Amino acid sequence: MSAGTAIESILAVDVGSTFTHACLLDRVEGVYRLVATVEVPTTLGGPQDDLSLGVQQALAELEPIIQRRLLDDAQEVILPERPSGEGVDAFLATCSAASPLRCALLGLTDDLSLHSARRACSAAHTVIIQEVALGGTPRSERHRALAALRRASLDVLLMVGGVDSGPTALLEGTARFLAALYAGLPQAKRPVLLFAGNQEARRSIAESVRGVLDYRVVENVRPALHVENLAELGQELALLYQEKKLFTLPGYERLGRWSTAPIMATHEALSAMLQFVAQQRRLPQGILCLDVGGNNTLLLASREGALHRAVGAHLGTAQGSRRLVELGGIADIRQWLPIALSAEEAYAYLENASLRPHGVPQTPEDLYLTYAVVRQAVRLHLEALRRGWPDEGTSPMVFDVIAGRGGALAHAPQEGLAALTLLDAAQPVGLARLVLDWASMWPQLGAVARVAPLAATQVLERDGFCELGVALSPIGNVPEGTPALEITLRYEDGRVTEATVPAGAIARFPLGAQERATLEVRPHRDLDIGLGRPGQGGRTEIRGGRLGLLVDARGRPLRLPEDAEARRQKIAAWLRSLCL
Amino acid sequence: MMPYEARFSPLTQIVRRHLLPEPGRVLVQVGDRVQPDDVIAEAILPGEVALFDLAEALGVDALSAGRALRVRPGQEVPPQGLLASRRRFLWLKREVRAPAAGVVRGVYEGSLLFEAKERLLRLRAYLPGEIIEIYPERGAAVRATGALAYGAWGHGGEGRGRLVLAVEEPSQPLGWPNVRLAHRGAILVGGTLNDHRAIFRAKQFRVAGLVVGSIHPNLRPLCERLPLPILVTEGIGSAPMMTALFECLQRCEGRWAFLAGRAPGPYGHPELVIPLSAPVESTALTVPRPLQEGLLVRLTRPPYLGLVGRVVSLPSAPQKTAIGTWAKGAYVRLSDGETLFVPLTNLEVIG
Repeated sequence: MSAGTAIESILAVDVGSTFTHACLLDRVEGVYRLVATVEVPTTLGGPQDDLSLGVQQALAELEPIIQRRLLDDAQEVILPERPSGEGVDAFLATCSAASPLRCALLGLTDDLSLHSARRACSAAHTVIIQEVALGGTPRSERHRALAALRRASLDVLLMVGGVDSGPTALLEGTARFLAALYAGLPQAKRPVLLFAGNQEARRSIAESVRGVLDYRVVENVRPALHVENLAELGQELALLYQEKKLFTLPGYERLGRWSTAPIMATHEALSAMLQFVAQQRRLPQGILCLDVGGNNTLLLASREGALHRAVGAHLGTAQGSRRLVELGGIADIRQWLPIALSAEEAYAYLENASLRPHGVPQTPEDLYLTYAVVRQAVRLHLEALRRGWPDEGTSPMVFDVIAGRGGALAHAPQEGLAALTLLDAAQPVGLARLVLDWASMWPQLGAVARVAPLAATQVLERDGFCELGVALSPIGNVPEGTPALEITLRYEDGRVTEATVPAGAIARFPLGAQERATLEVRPHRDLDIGLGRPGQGGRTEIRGGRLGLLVDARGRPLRLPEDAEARRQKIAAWLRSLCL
Repeated sequence: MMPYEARFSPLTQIVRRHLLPEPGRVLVQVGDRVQPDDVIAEAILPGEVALFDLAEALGVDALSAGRALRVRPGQEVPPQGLLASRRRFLWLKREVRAPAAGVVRGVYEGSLLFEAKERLLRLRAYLPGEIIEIYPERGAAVRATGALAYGAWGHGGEGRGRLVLAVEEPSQPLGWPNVRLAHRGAILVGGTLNDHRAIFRAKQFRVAGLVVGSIHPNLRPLCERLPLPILVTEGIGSAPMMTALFECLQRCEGRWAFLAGRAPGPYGHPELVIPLSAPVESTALTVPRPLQEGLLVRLTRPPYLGLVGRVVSLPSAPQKTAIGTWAKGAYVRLSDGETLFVPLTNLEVIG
């Protein structure tokens, strides 16, 4: 802290399951700016099974770039900044390198309590290993399912069910069964019993499992038949993820010693950052963030002041591609390819990517397959996110901003490829700004905001976004080739561009990131540009981006041609129309 | 620059830390010489849980099952001890007996929860070598010398046996005729694996383990269902085994080899170890080291998967790759003279 009190220089790192990102923020001409950023493989599970070693390596790579020492002779972070300029004033960290919480869901009914528990789990860093519907399952089958839990190496037994003041016998009996089941295991191997059901049963369950299971209680997820309350359960699952998973990572304690503030879970930090952006930029329709990493996919939507989250554990472009194939099949991934690639070849590419998750594509096949995986990971998980909205996902995908992050999107060789991937994956409607976390630093900024909000704001404003452009996408479908949208774009310098975009096509109109223009749109009578009525046109002022204005007249929902060759040609054409 | 650990070394020191899953007793001391079967530590682990549906077994309803119970919750029971019985007529008696010694955990709605007695877990040395470190109550580290190859993928636990090459070329598929009864107990080496019959035959003939360069993607799920130890050195597809490794295996044919298909210990790599009698002083521990010009490297991403070359230069700035991305990397000269730019993350150091 060269000035004595104020934080001037900040190191912020995010330790992901595949890569560790470090960035240095510092004051440049009185304003906080991103000075440098580096990416190195995370050091977990290998010969250097200690995440702090990866952070050290990241800092060692930063040092020659910034011409400044960050690590002392003992390889510890130099804190605070010395008068000589070595070190930094603050060190902040976020982490998502841990495996997800392994959960079993025990609920009374499949359609109510278990449904709510599933929703809560989808927003937390969990993977559901087993579900037991206590109510509708025959006695012997239920007992077998419960007995099988002991072999499943669970972190959490999440028990839900019953409206408050409803019957409690089944829940109490299950608690007694669980206590007996786990009594013989060492304490460290027993899961936490998290109860989010009928509050009448809390005390008797506590008595049944006392001394055997770590018992925690949160608000009933279904206090009444038509009331759902997931907030407290979500918070407790987040807490458990920290306690059970993050805290036990090799090197986490050391990282914590370096940190100026407690380490945040990456998804918590990213959530905070997105809510901040939504408020600061006054985005009435909110922001949707698609974060597709090597092992996990995280979808976040901040709209109307609320944050909705869906965590896809083990769904990603590298290690996570295997589960993606298991869930959706290789054909669903291949449908997004602009080139011919047999199922066998595609499968081999994905398997190799999962074996060596730090690798990067070197062939067009490998590259396009990676972006196909991104699309599919988002498509598969988007429904889980939408189910969390107040209208349970019936409203169209209208967002002011669609934000992409994760290795594949951040390192896209062409911005058009990243833009097309965002459009295909999210399929937004109306006008949406497309941005990328090009420096992989949004979570770190979420952590920085807690100790230096001004630094987070200034860096975010100036260096945080790669602005791809604005996409206009109408709802509805009309026959291919039909004039779908008549566009008039009036630039500030007086130029006017008029064009008709046919259905089934994507058109790009250059408009720089600092340029503004007035956009006038007249849609086909069957297409709605987000104004609530098909055929209704409108006029608005827009700001551009690296790609400019993208008019996506492919319709919503997006329909890919059935014929494989026609589909490939179509995707290749869309790609050509977006790539510079 | 990120340090790299060598993925294959023809002669190196190998240190393997073996730890108990639960605290227990360590039976060796630093300096002890051990053989693979020697027990170095032991621990008592909880027994398995068994569920008995008394109602169904005795032909009563769930509520009346309690009356047929002949034990109390918490009671210890010997093997074949009577848990519950019901006599319907003089000559017709139904009984439920304990499958092993254990304890009755409880009875719930006609089901009895029984936990078998604790079992003793013996941790073996796995490799012939010397104990160099003790972890009190948890285990020990064994040091050996020999050839070491990490796999890109593996499955099926540990296997050991004499090393036998079933093929003549590193690209030659391991077909089912290559697997013979004479290979029983051997670690069998093939170039690639694309025939499920070879796997079934290896299991049938009790081959101790398979080592191949690559495996057909469709066969991976099959291997995951079988208890046959398998190690894949390059990856999934049809890439041949790296020539240097294949030649090393040829030289070591007939020697004892130790294959760990599933991640052994803390490093998490499937691996093949061939102990070689070399003085410890003449070998070095393979430690991660920075990539340097002149080092031999293996390329790990298609279309170059499995190719080997030598680093000729390491540009400090990111370079543009063939598909337009920017990455830090190395220029690598392949054995055929071609020089390629390869991203650092797509390289592995050899030896």
